[in-house]
Amino acid sequence: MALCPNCGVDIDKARQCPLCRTIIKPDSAAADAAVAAAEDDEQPVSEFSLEGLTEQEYHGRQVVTSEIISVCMGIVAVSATVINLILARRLDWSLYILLSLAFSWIMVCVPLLLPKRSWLVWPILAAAPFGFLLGLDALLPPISWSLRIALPIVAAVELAGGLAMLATRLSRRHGLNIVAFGLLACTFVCLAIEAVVCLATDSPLRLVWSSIVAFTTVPVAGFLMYFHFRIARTSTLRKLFHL
Amino acid sequence: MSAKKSERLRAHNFRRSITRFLDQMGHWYVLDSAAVIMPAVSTLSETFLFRMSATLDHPVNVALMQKALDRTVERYPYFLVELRRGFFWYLMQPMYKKPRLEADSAWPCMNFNVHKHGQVMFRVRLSGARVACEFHHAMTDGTGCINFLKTLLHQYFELGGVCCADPGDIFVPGQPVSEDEFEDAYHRYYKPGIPGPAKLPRAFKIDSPVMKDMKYRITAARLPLAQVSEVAKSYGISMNDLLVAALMEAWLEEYKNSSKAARRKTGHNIGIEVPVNMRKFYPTKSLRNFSLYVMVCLDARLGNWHFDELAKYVHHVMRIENDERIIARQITRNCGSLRIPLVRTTPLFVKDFFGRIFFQKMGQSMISSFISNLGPVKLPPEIAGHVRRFDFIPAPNKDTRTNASVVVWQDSMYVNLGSRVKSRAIEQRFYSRLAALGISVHLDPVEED
Repeated sequence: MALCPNCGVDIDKARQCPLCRTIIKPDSAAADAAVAAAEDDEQPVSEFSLEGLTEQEYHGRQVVTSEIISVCMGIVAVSATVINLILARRLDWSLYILLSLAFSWIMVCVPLLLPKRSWLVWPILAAAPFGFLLGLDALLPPISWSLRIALPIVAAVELAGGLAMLATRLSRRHGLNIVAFGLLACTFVCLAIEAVVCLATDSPLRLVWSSIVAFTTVPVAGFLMYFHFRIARTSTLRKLFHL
Repeated sequence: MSAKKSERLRAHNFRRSITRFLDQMGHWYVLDSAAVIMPAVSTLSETFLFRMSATLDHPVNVALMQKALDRTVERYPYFLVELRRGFFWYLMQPMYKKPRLEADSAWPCMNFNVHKHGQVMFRVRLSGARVACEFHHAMTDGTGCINFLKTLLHQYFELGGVCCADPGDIFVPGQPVSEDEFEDAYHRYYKPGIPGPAKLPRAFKIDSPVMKDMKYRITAARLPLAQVSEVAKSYGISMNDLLVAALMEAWLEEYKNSSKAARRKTGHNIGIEVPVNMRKFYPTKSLRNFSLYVMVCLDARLGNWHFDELAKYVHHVMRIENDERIIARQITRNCGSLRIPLVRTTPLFVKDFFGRIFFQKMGQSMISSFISNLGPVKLPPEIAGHVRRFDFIPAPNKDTRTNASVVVWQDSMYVNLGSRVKSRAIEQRFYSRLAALGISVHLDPVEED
């Protein structure tokens, strides 16, 4: 028995999904015979990638993609810098463009250039928004809004998103619990935003609008959790929302 | 159509014909195109259960039959399912608890809640020497049910020490289950661009109150096959045409005897629906629904008809309408509507609401009655000697009210008329006509309403 990751259909012992042509990793001894038969008349293909590429070819494509992106961004960066120098004889507005391009490059190219090194990629991706916002603030000294408002909010968003992703990852069954995790994460972010704004403006810490958000979303999330774990034990989102 | 387009359509149809899916919680199935509307209109009395039963030459050994059932369901995993609601469509969820045999009741196919959680979509009932399989139409049609019953009998007799040298077309536990057995063959053979079937006028309905307390009267009869064949040959028509003509005449008589108010309330058209097994037109191993129908219609205001005229009329209508190209229009209508994005993305509760209206207005209102002929049942000789008769009972329906089902076993034809109304006029006229044609009609005792 094998499951096509794209279509979700059981393709039994077949090596390739008949619908989307995805190569399926054989997961049982019973599939070996089918695989062996298939290998007789075709070149062995790595089971790594979704498009039938070998691991090396796949990584090669990722490098080429990152190179194309880098060159494009480089052209934009050089153009903006030159135009800024010609018009203003100094670097002012182009710095924003350069900073944005650097941030975009990190977010897009680092995962492409460092595949299978998630222990390194995730911290870089998490740190990048802090650096970006701090950099934006530093362009107009003194550093003010980033430390008091932007960075705490980004930290809250990343913390909430990370916890939601962790909870999703740890869930055995993906159904309405994912929606509940998302709602709780959004609620936490709202509370954090209002708290950060209060602290930043030296106002007393009173959660007004975010508490209303929490009062509405938390019961909904609780109901969805209850539904997922108690009622719809055999349901998944894929099944529930099948079209 | 160009080869490329044709190939694309074939691939798309194949994709749509897949009914089994897999996610992290295991397999689940979607309903076939004909079945999607049925759960919405299923109730405790309009159960959509139809029944195939076999009467043996000895009282059934319950323990042995339970073991046989346990083995049989292993061969039909796509029948061991319960109905569940999705957000957009109904689904079928596999069950891991094997069904238990049930005692039979006087009113077959009644009192069944297909929506109940943990309720498998069929039941096997015992009474004396009779074993009956009642299947919900959302899951399969007559072909699926008779296959299941044959496997059940095969297993029962095997456990009892009766071995078959060659099981023939019987599905035996241990055989691999082919994915083709639960494909949605309607989608597989969908042809775009064909117009749907023409709309028919409202059909005449019998003016009689519906029986209360979940009663469903079955009037069963055994007809000698040779006699039926001989009479049909004398009219130059098939046996099925003969039965349709007899039923049509019964309805015409009923129309004549009805009040003007009753005629106005329903319609003047007598519409007899004759289900057609589409497997004879399209090769498929599917045991999901794959039957459509031919409508034999006659306006009752046109005057009097002799039986021989009716026989010819039915014969010619059946020959004209029973054509793959004409029946394929129904596939286009059914599947085409299910492929519309708006229909697909409409929530199920909205679909249920409009489905009930559609079913009533577009389906039931055009049909006076239906007659479903399963044809001959074949079993290996070792088992056949122990089976006295087969019966096929139509699903109860208070709109079409009195319907007929036919099955042929050895040298007899077994006709069952199921009715939800108090009046027995249709049964009486139908069987009387057959008897008047010189056929010996052996009626079984009928339960009193």
